[in-house]
Amino acid sequence: MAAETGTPTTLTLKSNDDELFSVAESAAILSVTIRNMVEDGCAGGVIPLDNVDGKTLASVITYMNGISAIPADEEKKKSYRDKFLSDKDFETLADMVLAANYLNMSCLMDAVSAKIAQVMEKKSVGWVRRKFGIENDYTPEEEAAVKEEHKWTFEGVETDDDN
Amino acid sequence: MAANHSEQVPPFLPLHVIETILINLPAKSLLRFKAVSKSWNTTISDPVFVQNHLHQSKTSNSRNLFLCRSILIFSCYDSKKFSLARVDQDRRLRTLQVVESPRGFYTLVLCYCDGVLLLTSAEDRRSGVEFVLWNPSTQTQTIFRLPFELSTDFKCYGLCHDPGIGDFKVVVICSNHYAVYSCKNKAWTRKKEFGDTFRVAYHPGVFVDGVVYWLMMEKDERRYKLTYFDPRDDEFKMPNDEHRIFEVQRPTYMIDFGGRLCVYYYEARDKVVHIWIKEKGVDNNSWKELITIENVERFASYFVPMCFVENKIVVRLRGTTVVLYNPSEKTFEEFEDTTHYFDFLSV
Repeated sequence: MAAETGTPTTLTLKSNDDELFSVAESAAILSVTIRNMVEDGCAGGVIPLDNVDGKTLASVITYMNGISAIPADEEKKKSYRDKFLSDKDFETLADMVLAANYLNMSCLMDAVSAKIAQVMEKKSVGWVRRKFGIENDYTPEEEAAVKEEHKWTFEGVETDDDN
Repeated sequence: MAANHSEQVPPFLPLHVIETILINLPAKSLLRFKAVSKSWNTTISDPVFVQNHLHQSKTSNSRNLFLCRSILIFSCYDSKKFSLARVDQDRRLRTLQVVESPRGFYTLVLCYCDGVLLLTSAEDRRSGVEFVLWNPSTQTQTIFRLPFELSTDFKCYGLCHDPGIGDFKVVVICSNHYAVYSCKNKAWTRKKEFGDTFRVAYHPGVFVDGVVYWLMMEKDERRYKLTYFDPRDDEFKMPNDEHRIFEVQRPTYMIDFGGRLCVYYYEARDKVVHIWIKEKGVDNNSWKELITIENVERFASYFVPMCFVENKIVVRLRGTTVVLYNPSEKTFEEFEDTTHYFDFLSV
């Protein structure tokens, strides 16, 4: 492969807000979406990624470079992923899970999903509605009935931190 | 931009992305989030989602959760309470939740699987033995009876869950036959007689790999034999178990250890407990030694390996004593405040 000759192939990725990023092909093909474009030969010029903004793409590329530098050691990869996601807030994680979904990167998708779940675990129903932008379509009576059914699950919920 | 997140429009996450996130949540959070909206309730209640969630929860076995009978001081066996407890790093058991068991039933757990317990009624009734299948986390229960003509003296129980069709099956082994109750069909089936007495070692069946395993004794009593009940055809099967762990007769026990079939036995001469686990999958019969516990002075049925905390193994000793065994130093450290916990069921 190109990497062995000492001149690794680089790809140029373009975010939806027109930022350009250079990334080694060997790292970029962690994304099945990009790998397919490379294999189909449409990666010659600039690869436009219409669903990812520059800030998120920069973060995804940091991840691509970081994880592909680690040899096949699942423990080390896992600890890299944990560290990489440790300081990200909910909004950043939500952007990343959408990017991972669009780029078809299952390892990032699984890690970010698990991290979001970890953030949500002790949150209130109201917090989840606000953060996910979900409209409450229950009538007050219906909502009370659903809550009553699993009353014990409302114990130990954290106080909302987003107000 | 990051500073103004609260004013940002929340992201629109497609349903399959939301499902990928929700599958990582513990059941308690999921049940609470049914109140988020109708579509979240539909997603969380969907049978396929429930199955996937169950699978996901079982494969991530680092949670170290146990369901315990709570013992109240001065009233050993009348406590009707069960606690969900987590084994913490600092040698403590932390109670997450306490639930009351169904009225009129013993709290002795005949068998359990996938968080559902089989209990029996406190008084014998003429019409047969009464059972309840009880799910402590959703507080739901199903009561049914084993007809008198099916039950004889010796009984051994097993419970299995087929998430594919959403059925729970109860297997009752009597001395020379067995009967199967399907919760979905609400009916018992009496299965053919065993040729001779069915010599299962007395313990509840262990639900792993989608089947229920028992250890049975060979006729000459020189060897244990592995057998399992297959809920797909309601038959008992004998997997290939040509392995030295089954060869010699000595105190041998079988449990579910983090979702894997686990067999352990005591070598009295060396005061050592050998613990073996089987690879996942009903057709995979390769065993490997998990850990050896040395300096075990006393061993009986109360000795039960529970889980790992880092590289140390948690073991229940006699009574309510729980210890952490350090394999590099071969020492035991006792857990604090375990007197309220009894009968640990891995959940």
